[in-house]
This record gives sequence, structure tokens and C-alpha cells, in this order.
Amino acid sequence: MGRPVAPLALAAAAGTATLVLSGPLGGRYAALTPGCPIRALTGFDCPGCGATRAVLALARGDVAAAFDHNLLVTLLLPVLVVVWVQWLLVTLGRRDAVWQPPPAVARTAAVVVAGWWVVRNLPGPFARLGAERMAADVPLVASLATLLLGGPG
Amino acid sequence: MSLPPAGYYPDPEDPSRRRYWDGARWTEERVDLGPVAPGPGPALVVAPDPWLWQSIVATILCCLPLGIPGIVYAARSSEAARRGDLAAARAAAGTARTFVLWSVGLGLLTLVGYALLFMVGVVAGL
Repeated sequence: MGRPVAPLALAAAAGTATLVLSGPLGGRYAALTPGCPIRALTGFDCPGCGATRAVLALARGDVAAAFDHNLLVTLLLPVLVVVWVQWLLVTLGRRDAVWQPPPAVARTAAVVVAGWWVVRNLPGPFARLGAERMAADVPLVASLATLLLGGPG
Repeated sequence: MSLPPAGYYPDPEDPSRRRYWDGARWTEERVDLGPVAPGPGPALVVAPDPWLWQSIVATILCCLPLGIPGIVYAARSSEAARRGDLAAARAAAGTARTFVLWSVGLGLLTLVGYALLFMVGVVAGL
């Protein structure tokens, strides 16, 4: 019989962070975090870009905004809860109660995640699927090139 | 898939010892029988964790393409487990695990490096 320290601690940390950041302090958080490094370097959205904003939008009860920031992560949040419960069961020594999804689920997941990555970076009608872009969100590579090579401005 | 009957089986965490399987799950009761004789013993039919959800979470949160092959290997692992090929299932799960750990490691490294760069930028007033 194990003790579920890790899953409970992680849930408490995630819950506290969500409550704090979706409250009045949330505005300061946005100014303090550097954001996603991969997006800053390449200018492309990764599958998780907008996930934090989506969770904070949900905490405020704004489901539409959550879907807008990151459709896939918002849809997957209930799955994450199921995974967390299974992790809890494993730490309680109930490995037998864990459900392993059939291989088709894993195959589908690979296609969905890879497809999501591509599609949300496409222009046109798909641009809505990207994480909301901020005006100052110039790729770091471009800024560095400008700095080194002496571009306009 | 029916579970094997209760009894002492090689401990999946430490094959040099035997561990009591109560017919549904592992107990904490382990016995040291010295080197377990190789040969036909009751092989335990417990599939390894394919590292599927870890791969998906790593792909989404670490923003690195390494998670995708992780998901593919997790799929191979559960396919092999369905076939009953536990050795192949374990090997594929191990590969998926490697992809996840590299993904998390490189993701954290990128994040720390970028955060340092960001702070330097804030301090320099850029």
C-alpha cells in the first residue's frame, strides 16, 4: 500500500497556481513570464501554446476563450483528469485497476497531435486555431538577426 | 486477458527476487530465493506501461517534436502487448520513455536558457 504523495502534491500545486493566476495577480504574471521559448525562437505555435491562458480562462468560467486559446488542450483536460486518477491508483498499489487504451487510441493520438501542430500554424481559416498572437510577438531569431546585421530601425 | 493465479513470481522490479502476486495485483511481500533458476517458470503476463500519456503530455507541453515518436513507440508497445509479445512491448515502452525524458530534459533546458536570456533583456532594458 503506497502513499499518493506525488499526485496529491501536484494537484494541490496546480490548483493553487490556477486560483492565484486567474485572480487579481494574474495580470502581473503575464508581464513576468517569458512565455514559450520555442515560439519566441521560431515564431511557430507549438501544440501547447495558449494552454496556460486556456486553463486560466476556464478558471474564470470563460469556456469560449479557453477553446480559442488552445482547442486541443481544452478538449484533453477531462482526459488529463482520468490520467491523474489512474496515477493515483498506481501510487495506491492498484496497478490492476489501470485501464490501458487500445493501440488504435495511441495511433490516433500521434496523428491528432502532429496534425494539430501543423494546422494551427496555417494561415487563412485556420489562423483562429493558433494561440492568440500579441503585437510585440516578433520571433527572437528575427530580432537577433536585426540586432546583429543592423536592420531597419 | 485472464490474470495468472496467485503465487510467487519473479519480481518485475528486481528479477533476482520473487514477489507474491495475489491473483489480481502485486503485494509488497518479496522473498529472496537466491539466483532464480533460468528456464520455464510461470511467466507473468503483465504488460508494461507503454508511456502513452507521458508522451502526449511531453509533446504538448515541451513544444519539441521528440514527443511524436514517443507516442508512436507507445502505440507499438501496446500493440506488442496485445499480441502477447511482452519483450517487444517492454522494448518499445523503453524507447518511448527515452523520447519522453529527452523531450522533458531539452524542454527544461530551453526554458531555463530562455528565461535567463529574458532576465538579461529585462535588466539591460531591451
